[in-house]
Amino acid sequence: MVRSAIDPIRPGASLILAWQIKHKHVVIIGGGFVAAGRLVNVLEADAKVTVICPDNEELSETVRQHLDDHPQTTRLVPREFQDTDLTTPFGEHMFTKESPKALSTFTLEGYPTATSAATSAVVPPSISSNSSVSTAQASPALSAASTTTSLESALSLDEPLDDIVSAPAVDMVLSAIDDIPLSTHIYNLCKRLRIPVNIADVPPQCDFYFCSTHRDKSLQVAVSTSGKGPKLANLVRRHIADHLPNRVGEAIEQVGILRAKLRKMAPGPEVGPKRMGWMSRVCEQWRMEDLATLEEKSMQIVLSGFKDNVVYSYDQVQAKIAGEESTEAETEKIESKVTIAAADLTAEHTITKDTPAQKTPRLVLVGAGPGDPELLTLKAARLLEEADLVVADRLIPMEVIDLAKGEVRIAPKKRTVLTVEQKSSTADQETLSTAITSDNIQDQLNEWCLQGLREGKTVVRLKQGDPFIFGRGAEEILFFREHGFDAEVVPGISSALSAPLSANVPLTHRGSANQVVITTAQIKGGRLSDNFPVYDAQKTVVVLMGVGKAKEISEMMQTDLGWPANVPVVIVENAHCANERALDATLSTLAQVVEEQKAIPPSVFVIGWAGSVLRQA
Amino acid sequence: MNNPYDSPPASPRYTTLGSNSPALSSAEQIHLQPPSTPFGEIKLIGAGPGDPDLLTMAAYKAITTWADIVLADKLVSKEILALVKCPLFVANKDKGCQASGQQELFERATQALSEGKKVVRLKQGDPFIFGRGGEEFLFFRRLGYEATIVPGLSSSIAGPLLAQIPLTHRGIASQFLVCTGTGKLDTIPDMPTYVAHRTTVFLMALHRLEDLVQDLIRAGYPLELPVAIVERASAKDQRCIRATVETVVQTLREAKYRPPGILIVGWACDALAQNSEQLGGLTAGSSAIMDSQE
Repeated sequence: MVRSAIDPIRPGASLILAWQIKHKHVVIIGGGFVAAGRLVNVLEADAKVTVICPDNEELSETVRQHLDDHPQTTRLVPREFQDTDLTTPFGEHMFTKESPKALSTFTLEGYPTATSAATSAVVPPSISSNSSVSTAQASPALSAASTTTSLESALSLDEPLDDIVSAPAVDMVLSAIDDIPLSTHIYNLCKRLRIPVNIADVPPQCDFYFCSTHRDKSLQVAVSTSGKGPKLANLVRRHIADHLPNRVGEAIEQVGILRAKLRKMAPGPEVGPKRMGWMSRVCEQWRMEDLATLEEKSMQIVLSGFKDNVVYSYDQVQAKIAGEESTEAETEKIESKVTIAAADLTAEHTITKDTPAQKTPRLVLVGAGPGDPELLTLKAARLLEEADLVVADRLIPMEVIDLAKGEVRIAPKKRTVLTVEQKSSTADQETLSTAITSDNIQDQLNEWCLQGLREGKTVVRLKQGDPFIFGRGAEEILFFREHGFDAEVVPGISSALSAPLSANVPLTHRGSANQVVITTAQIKGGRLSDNFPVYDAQKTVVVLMGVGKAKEISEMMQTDLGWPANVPVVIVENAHCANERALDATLSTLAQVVEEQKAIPPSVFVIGWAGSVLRQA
Repeated sequence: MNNPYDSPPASPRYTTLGSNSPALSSAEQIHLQPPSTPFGEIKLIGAGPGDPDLLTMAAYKAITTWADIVLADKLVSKEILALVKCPLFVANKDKGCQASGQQELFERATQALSEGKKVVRLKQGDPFIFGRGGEEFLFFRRLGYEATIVPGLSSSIAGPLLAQIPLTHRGIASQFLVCTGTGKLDTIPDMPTYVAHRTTVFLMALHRLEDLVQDLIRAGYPLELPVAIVERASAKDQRCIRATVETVVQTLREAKYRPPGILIVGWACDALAQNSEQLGGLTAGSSAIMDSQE
């Protein structure tokens, strides 16, 4: 089904554009601090500027300096404003200091209509300081006449475009004076001449407003309040500027160069989509600071990945540069591969890269959620990318593990251990051998983390679900604290809560359930937990690790705790995974359903009346 | 079940036949439904405790690229709402307006769905944990839309964690219970009984803490049982106030509580406390002991 979503129109905004005023002619009337600000704005946009201001105390020192610094692109007309200033091209002012103010008069002489402009390119229009004498012509009639002329000539399509449609004498007028009648006069003139105009501090007499802008090289951020609150615009702009990533301007410059190189390397339109896709992946995967460091050599390495549509990470590129230098370049060193090896003591083991000792170690316990990578938090996903070492629980799916860019170690399965990469130093092997002889997987994981921390690495301890919900996270925190490392914790979605949700069982629901108890079925030694709650019609009970104890749970809850036999039980197996299954039972049929349907761990039981709210029979 | 949202939706996608219209055969009924109506989609999404970093990838993608319109609760944080790129409607659920706010939200959702739009219903925390997500799910099902539910981090879980309080901890707590501290008529009729190996999390409880503590004591909770209050979980000014059942009322008064917050009751509150000073109340009497997150 093809369908396009249309956002509703919210009127009342300004149209925000980036005006290409380069080499065009801007007239600024006034020389005070407002004019100074305007001058900087338009000079930075490479315009040609005429400043009209008597050469006295009105002309501020700032303006004077900018004028002195840019003799090629600026002109000072040291007198009061005259009407002809709006019809005089850049650099063609001729004036005497005594020239009178021409408020009441207006002439279009010298204003380049389409035809006269063609000539004006060669011959300056006949402007003199006393042009105010030509008062006889009424302007309305004149503008009508000029319209006709321009239309006629514009229609002669045979002529080269530049000859017909030439630039007007003035492209933009910025008035920055206190004289309100004069300002209004300038505004009216501009309207008649169709020159875009901004009268400072008089919003109704503005065709456009200036935005509060932040600039960092090619990056420009503009904040508009549609003329309503310039000061607020300023504050907002400063806030935004403070929150931009470090070195973003440099990053943009380098990305610009990289794009140009890529376009040169693979110019065809047929590779357009691939080019765009690859470029955006580079931008997404690299941090701004790292993009900013790109130079000729690293760009070549990054570009070398384009052919195979690979985006090398910053670390990989650095490693490649280092590798080329040390002649022992090995491509495997760059691709961190996760290999699962049988646990024999000869298993090879190495460290991916030598981390400088001065790096600050960092340990983060991260909840990986129930399994679906989409249910990772943004923070978890980012930490996985940033980590030098990820130590993961065994059951975390590879789609999640794949987000890690550094070294990955996965919890061993009983007597199997996982090792990562290449050959090693003997010292590392010794550490590992002691770890392998230990039967306790937890000790092994802790040891791996400690090892990474002592090397100054950023270590992510990736745990299923939520680190603090039946995840032993707190025990790990205590362990690392004993060894002098404080751990940060990032919550994850616990399958105890998301599994019911996945099966459309609301844990709380007005009228059906107002309390949730989450409990494990097994306590130390695999015995059945003896603290199941007494029956309460408004309570939902989520039981973890209950598959092997279904019969006992069902009997205990019915006979000892007063739960009715017909309370719904939903068994959710492999929540959020492709092979998720939800089975309906009641407390009395629980054991039977588990057995007949061959429910397997990991499963949760959701016991309570909430089970019947949304599930359709 | 008494559900105030049972009133018919503003513009039902399926034509409701008036009682006075003659009975039509099912074929005719089908004919009445506009065949060209595009199918909107709806996702009920948990926004987590407030920090945009704690959005799930699914939630982030849904509100930044997937949605045509986002309908959010007022409690969803400004930082998260700032990520929304499409039209956004925030329900006004101030005191006294809850029902009408919810009604307006439903109307907007219905309207957008009937236009074939992709609608995100963004709820604070997790949609199914005291979020009334189930009721909304049923509402949309009655309109003929089966909502996709995306879990979020519930502050009942993330709050304790961010304050370094494990809800479960070997040897200390093997289960936890989440409940609301405000029941009908501002009481909690069924205070969960005291179980030593359980951590209890109360939501919406702090405005009536004094009464709640009396309920706790009546239900047999020991006076020296540690409690913790996590204020503004995941926000920059998150704060954790520690006390005991006996001292919590005064401690909170001295600490000048700033909502929203959750109350955690159970021995696990102290599982990671670093020193006796942090075992607020046990040794330090009623003095307020806090550790705020910088």
